[in-house]
Amino acid sequence: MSYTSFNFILFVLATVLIYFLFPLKKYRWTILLVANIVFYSLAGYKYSVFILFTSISSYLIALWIEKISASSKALLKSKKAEWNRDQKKAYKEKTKIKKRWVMALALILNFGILAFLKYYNFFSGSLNDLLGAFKIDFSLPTLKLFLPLGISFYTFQCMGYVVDVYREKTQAQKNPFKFLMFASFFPQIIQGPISIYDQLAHQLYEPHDFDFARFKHGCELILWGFVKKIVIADRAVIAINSVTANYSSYNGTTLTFTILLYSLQLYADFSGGIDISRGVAQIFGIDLMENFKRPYFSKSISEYWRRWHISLGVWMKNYIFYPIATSNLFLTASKNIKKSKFGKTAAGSHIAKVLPTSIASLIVFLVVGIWHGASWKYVAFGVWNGGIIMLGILLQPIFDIIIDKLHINRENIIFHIFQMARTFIIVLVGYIFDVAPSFSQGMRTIILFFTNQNLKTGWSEISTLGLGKKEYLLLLLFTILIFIVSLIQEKHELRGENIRQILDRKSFFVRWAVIFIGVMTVIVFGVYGSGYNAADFVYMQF
Amino acid sequence: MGDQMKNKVIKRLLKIGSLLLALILCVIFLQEFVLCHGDHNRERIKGFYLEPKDSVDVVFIGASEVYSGFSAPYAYSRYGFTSYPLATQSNTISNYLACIKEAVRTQHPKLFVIEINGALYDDNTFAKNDSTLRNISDNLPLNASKVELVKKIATSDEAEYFFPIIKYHSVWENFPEGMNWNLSVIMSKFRGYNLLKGVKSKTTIFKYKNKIYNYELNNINEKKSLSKEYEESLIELLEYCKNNNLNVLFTRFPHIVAKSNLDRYQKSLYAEEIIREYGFDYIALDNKLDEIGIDYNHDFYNIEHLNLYGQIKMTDYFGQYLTENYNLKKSDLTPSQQKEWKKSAEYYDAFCKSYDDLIKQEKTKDVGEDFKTILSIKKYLD
Repeated sequence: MSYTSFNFILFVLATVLIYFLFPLKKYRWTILLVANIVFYSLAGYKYSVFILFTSISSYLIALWIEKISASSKALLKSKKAEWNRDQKKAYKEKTKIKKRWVMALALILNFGILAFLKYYNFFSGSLNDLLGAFKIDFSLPTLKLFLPLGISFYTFQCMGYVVDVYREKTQAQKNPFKFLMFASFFPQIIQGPISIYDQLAHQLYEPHDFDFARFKHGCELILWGFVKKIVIADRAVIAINSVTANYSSYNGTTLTFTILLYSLQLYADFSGGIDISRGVAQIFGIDLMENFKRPYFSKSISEYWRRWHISLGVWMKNYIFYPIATSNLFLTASKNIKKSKFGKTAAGSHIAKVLPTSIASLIVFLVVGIWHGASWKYVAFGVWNGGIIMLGILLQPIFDIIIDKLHINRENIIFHIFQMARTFIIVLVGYIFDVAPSFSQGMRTIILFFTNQNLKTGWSEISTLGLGKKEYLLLLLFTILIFIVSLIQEKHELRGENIRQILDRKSFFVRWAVIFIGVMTVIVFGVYGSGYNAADFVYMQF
Repeated sequence: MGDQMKNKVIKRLLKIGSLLLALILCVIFLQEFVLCHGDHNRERIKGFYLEPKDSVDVVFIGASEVYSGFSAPYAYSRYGFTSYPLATQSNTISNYLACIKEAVRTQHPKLFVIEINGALYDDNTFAKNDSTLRNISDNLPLNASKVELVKKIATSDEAEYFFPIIKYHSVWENFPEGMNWNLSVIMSKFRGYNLLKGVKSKTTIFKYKNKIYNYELNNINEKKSLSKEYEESLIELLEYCKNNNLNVLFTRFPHIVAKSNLDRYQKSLYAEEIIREYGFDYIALDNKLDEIGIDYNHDFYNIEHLNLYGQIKMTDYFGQYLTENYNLKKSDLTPSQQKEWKKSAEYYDAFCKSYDDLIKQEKTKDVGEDFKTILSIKKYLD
């Protein structure tokens, strides 16, 4: 069930009604659990097996880890007087290893399923190509695999929970149904945000009363999400799909335009979907984390990734970046550089300092790239982003020197605009690999960008991409609207306010007019239904 | 809950209710007059519902032959009876029953004239064509016969037939040109009736170079069966007419019968046989060009349709045939209704005058009630 379908609206309305009318407040969460099960089952029963497996295995393994911790602590307490320091240390280490193995079991099982379903064919194809190149007569078969709804999101969320229990940052959930509720919360199951157990779980289980202000704000956020998703993203994607369907036949200007359009489409689609998710959750009294904070206003690529798909960034930071950056391997390497002759120089000292973080960043973005899809182009996407961040960290002192030499005021607005434009261009280059059908086509696009720019041909090609002039104009107007809204959000965020709170202070007529115009915008300008083409109605004879 | 709280909740519900009401009204207005497929079919069908109850003597059912071949305003001015073509372009016989049910619901016509060309198409011609189906279904008000029709014809999500805005909301891309017919529908709604009573034709004179069969049709007796679906629809229609004691005349309006469409004539012979078996009258007009006074080299705008000149001749002939054979008399209308019909006749007359001018300038034009055309003929009104 798509978040922008009429059925989804009805589903949410029905759930809201039942949830708030359910007399046993303490058990209101069960209504949401039933809604999750219904929502997931509607997508297909076969998918349910996977989410159930991940939920049950995460639930049991977290309990197991906690049990190991508890019994270890109990034993240590009982042997407090008996054991010396070394014995205690050895036992603690043994417990840690045991817990780690148990945690690894959860990770291997669940990431194994994800990796197999998502990457097996990519892996087998690549391996077969490699073996073929060496004329080795062996090939792995290609399988007809399907991806269960939201598998990446619930797997990441559940594994984050297991690691948090392992790290003793959170207590394991004793109630399996409550845990299933956390793993399958329907507003976020399709596209996140990837929530952290400690932030989300207690909100899910608390009995919430109906709050009109939350209901109104939730509806407003959903409406804004609809505008972004079905007015902007679903319109822009028509032209993008036309290009990707016949990618190699377009010139550099058209491809450049497509990448720009993609930057709009991707942001509107993803952030619009998240707005709908957050709006629905807000109606139930649940605050999901923000996943986008005006990413195209970023002044560096690392800032961009702190503003874009924030929950994925947080997850990567907590569960991949830190373990790598603080691993013995990198810390030792850093120490060794520091001790060496090179480490005594300014450059060496800097490299020794930032080596763990820069390499960890590269690895994280490699993972992010692969997470986006099973293809070499996504690997390139990850390497591009991670590589830029790594170079940025390593070359920071040189940039600082250049800026000082040129007497550039770092707080100057023009410098900020330059930084934003530079970051946006770097982001666009990454998007090339996202849009292009393959890695080689992505590289070709970069070459065409420099060698095949022709405005006249480009414009005539752009006008054949399935959108008329009026639709391009509409996209332009809505891009300006998003830009203005983003500026207001940026300005008011410092005061801890959002646009909906600002709107609350306006008069009744202004508030309702905004909602009225929003709804009518979706109805009139949204891309939905079977579509109308005046030509279908022309019968030449009469 | 305290009184203050209660008042707050009531106030809030009223505010939400008023917003929802405003939204619903706005959507209904847009769906009805703006975000729809506006064309002559819509103008004609919507116009039918503007006719005062029980004021239409003859209802014509069929496809484009009906509104290009017969002029209701002209027939009124010549013979005094009122008529209306409940017809759309390339309408198939599968939709005829819904049209008759709608006609019966709002009028008690003395006579139904059913043009059978909609039963003579090939299997795949128009039967599943979305525009053909929607020209009727989109313009019927929501009632049992619409539900029945939609259940029968829906090729996409049924909701789109009941809430056409789902399909047509993107017509804003065709504005302002696309408002030409919509404005006409809005004006008819405010006026209370449409000016041309659904007439649509052209002034183009079609010259057919190849052999025509109209003058030797009496020698062609070989029949061809109808497609299964259309034959079933015809029988269903005949059963309905018989069971409801409707006074019906079946006919086939004049066409240029050529080699390419000879099979349709042969199918009409097959249909005629079925119709007569049910005891209904049938008149074939393809073989009566001379009797009607139609010159095939002057009075058609294409092989299937009469032009304005052919329409006038056909209305003269057929109007007289109906008054003589079906005892149609001058309609018993109220003074205001008479005034409206006279106005329609004046507009039709203005069209004829304006086209005299066009012919002198060797220009051709459509005859229809779209906003631009109506504006352009205003100067020809007396």
